[in-house]
Amino acid sequence: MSSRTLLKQLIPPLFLDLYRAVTRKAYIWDGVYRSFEEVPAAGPGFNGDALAVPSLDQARDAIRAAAGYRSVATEVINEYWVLALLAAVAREQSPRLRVLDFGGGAGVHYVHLRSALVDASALDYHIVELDWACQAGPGLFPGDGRIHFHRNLPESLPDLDIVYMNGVLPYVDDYAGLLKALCAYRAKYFMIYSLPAGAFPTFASAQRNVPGTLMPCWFFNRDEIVDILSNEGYSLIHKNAVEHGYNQENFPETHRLDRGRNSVLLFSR
Amino acid sequence: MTPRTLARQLLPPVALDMFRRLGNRKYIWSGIFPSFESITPVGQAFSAETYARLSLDEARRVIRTSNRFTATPTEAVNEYAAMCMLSALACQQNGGKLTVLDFGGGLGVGYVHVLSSLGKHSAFSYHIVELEWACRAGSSLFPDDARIHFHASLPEAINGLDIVLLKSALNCIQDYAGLLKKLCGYRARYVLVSELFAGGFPTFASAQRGFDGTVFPCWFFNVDEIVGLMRQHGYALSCRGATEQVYNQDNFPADHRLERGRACQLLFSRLEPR
Repeated sequence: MSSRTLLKQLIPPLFLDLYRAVTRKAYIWDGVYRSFEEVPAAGPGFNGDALAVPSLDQARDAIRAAAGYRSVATEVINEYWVLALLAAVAREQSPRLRVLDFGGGAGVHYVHLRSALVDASALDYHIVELDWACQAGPGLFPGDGRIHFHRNLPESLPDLDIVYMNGVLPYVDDYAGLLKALCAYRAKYFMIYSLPAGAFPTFASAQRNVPGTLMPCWFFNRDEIVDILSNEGYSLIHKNAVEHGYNQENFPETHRLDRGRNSVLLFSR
Repeated sequence: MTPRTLARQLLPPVALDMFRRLGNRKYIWSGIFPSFESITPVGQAFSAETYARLSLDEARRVIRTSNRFTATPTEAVNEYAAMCMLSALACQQNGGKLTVLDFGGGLGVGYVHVLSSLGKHSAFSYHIVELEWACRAGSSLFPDDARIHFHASLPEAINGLDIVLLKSALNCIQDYAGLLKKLCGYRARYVLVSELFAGGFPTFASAQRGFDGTVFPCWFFNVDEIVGLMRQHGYALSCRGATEQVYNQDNFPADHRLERGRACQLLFSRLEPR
């Protein structure tokens, strides 16, 4: 147990909330900007150890947990279960199940998907990630030919079933360009999980919850994202939210997420 | 703020946890029995007054909130997220038409979430099989809404059924094998079993404590038995997962506890065409 966790156990929630309310640390994002260039960015962002190390640890923990399952895949919960359902349905229409996970870290979603599917033999999982993940990732899955790491978008991925993005689009400056490039794979399904989106116009903000880093982050107009995918031949078939709610009281009311929650959008071609 | 909520805010989590451990309400289930008959029920289980009142309050809150969504339906989270997404996929596969049977679907909270999270659709029909009180109360919550139907028993037939939902309901059905057979008889494309208390142990019954001092029997299933029953009726397990909530079962022998205290989730797909 870390000292931070221990402290949280000893302090009454009321005082903890008060502390959070009076310190600016309660807010993850700061400012409303028109573009990434306007955000006073600093630090290594996603290339720093502050994000890479926990991401690798998370994948290792998932691999360890999965190896210990007896009758129930106990860690396939929430977002992992939702992806498993989508994959299971997509698998019915396809001899193999090919997934492109943009920003998939060290493969934690792959681990859970592999455990969830009754028949994972046909799985072909492609992760597009930064250098650190592409270097460390393959070492976590020795002898497993079903997972592939790419530093850039692969030239082609025929018969792609699912494009999956979880919490990554907000950090891509040219998000429209990326979405168009991903749509060009013509996957059957395109899922964007944990998207900060609402009825407000798209704006940038400075994200400050990663030690040593201040990075630009988009908050999207939801209809703009839907329009980009619609123009590429995709229809929105499902919209939802993730459970976690963020405190955005430092934002103008018009620029806050509905109930502080990110969106989940599922498109089909 | 209720006194209970205030106490939770003022007590350090470590003290609250200790209090809970010492309290009588520590365990939801007690005893291991071979059958439902071995357990003496007390009270009205899911017809208990407090349970009914809280269910009604929750349904009203969800309906109220869903009317205020701007860009995102923010409430269809946790255990509802998966059923909403599966509904969307089935709807898309069926050309924009969706028919759902929600066994034990309460007062229609699932209906509200599925409806608000669904994209464009041409037809939507949602059938709930519930206890008498829930059918009466549920119908009054959705006046003039022809898409939702409450049934006090399984309907004779439902044309073009896409999904059967069984969310934390099978455990309370004495003849679970018979119910599964009947539900599979509708030949829906998918059967989603959520919050199922199941594991590697042999199927056994336990006494569950509910609201207002009620005690009622509850099954803990051998997961392979359920998968086998479904296969007998033409359904194959497609994927499996778990729910986030962890139950404390320290009062059970180690080999009869849920893995990591978690209930499981199972998606079955129909093997043959309808």
